[in-house]
Amino acid sequence: MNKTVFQIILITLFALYNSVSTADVPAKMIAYSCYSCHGEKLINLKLSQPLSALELTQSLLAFKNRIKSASIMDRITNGFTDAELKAVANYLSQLN
Amino acid sequence: MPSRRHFIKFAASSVSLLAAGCQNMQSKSSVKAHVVIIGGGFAGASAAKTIKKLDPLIQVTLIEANKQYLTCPGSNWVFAGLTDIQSLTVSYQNLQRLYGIKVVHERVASIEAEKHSITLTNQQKISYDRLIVSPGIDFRWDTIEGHDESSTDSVPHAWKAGVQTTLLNGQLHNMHDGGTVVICAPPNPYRCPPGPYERASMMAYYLKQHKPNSKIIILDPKTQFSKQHLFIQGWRKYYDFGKPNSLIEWHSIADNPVLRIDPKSKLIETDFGDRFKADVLNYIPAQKAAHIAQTSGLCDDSGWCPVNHQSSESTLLPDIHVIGDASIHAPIPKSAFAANAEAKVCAFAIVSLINQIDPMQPTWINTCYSLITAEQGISIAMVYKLNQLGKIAKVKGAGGVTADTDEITLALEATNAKKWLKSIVADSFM
Repeated sequence: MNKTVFQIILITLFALYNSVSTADVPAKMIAYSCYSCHGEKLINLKLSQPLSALELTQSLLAFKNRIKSASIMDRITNGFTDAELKAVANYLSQLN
Repeated sequence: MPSRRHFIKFAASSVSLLAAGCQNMQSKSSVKAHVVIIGGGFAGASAAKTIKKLDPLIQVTLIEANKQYLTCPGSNWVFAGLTDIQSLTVSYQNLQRLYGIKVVHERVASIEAEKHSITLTNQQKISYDRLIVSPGIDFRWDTIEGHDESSTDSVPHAWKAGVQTTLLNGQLHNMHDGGTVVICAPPNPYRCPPGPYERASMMAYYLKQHKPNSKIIILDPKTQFSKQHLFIQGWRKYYDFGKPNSLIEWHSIADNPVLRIDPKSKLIETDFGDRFKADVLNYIPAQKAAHIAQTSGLCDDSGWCPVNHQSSESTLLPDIHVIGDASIHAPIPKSAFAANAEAKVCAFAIVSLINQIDPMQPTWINTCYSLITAEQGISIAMVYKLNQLGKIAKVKGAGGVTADTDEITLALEATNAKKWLKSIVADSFM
């Protein structure tokens, strides 16, 4: 296979992988547990603008590693792997 | 970075999902399956809403006897004058209007599991592809003498919010200064493990302001209770716990259970013959899964419903899922938060089953807030996953109770407790 064609396929597949949210179902399931307190699309946080995937991931990891003070989010984020937090952050950031 | 093979696998699944999406569009009017839900509490309402959000082509019917729901969370706050029954009342209208859930205000007479059908008390039959049973709790009246359902007018349990809450609050308000309130806490497992102790806190908050010479005695068949050290710390600070004039006393009577109650004189007698005289008596009975679960073969010898934890499908009857307080999801406690979490896991599982997609590895979060005073709160939280045996287990290193007990932390917890109630109600019913 031509190298360029292969690269195009890879890029297309990557885009497809990123765009199809149903391929990301476990993250969606975790996101639904966020909604219990934070509301759908984290509406209860009353953010002035939506957080990016990176900002959300950093925020969740900061709670988990107790870099950021929290009343309860440290206790919750400690129940998830870094990969799960990143996946749920990616999922949530794509909803806006 | 995912491997090339990974990409191809995802691409293949993405294409098939896209194809499935096209099929859905072609047959939008056709219903994939009918899910019937018995009981519109936090579990039933959340399950109905989540299924509809995940797959609108699944028809969902919610059977709930009452036209409105009264939340148990927040109902202890009535005793401190922080809220009222009106504010705790939720309507089912949004579930119908926004999500297309059919809500039927009837009672269920029986479940015919073999026929995949239920019969309502008005004789109407409703067939289902999958049934969710979330009826909550009933009380065990066989553990004591002298008191049962018929005398709950004078000795309210107030463990289902509503008339019973108003009744108990009225008795508290009519009590003279210097009176005694006795709260008989239930044995494990029961709905809302921190509930009796939050109730004592909220009653003490009221009595401290209006009837400071009174006393609350908690008689407990357990040797320990949820968030114990935080409650006791709070009671010491605000209600002189441990001193002769304490507003709250806690007596563990694990070896000496309550045997007899006289609803008229409000006299309580224990196994060893100890007697307690109450002016206001709040007997919270031992509990079991609600009647419909008992009569349809969904309960084991414990009186609760065993389920497969990944799907919440009954281990006793096929195509019936049990969630909320009636089900056995231990070590997850019986709470509104847990009911909402179990409902979501159940909804994802049912949608996967109907669409013939592999089920996911679920996660459950539970948080229970309790108020100590109007402005001071505490919480306990935990995250749960399936272990290698397919049973629910606490995630190591996660969860725990309020870490600091300084004024600022406790005030923040109280604010969060009040915000949480609004959030969980909205997430479940709106």
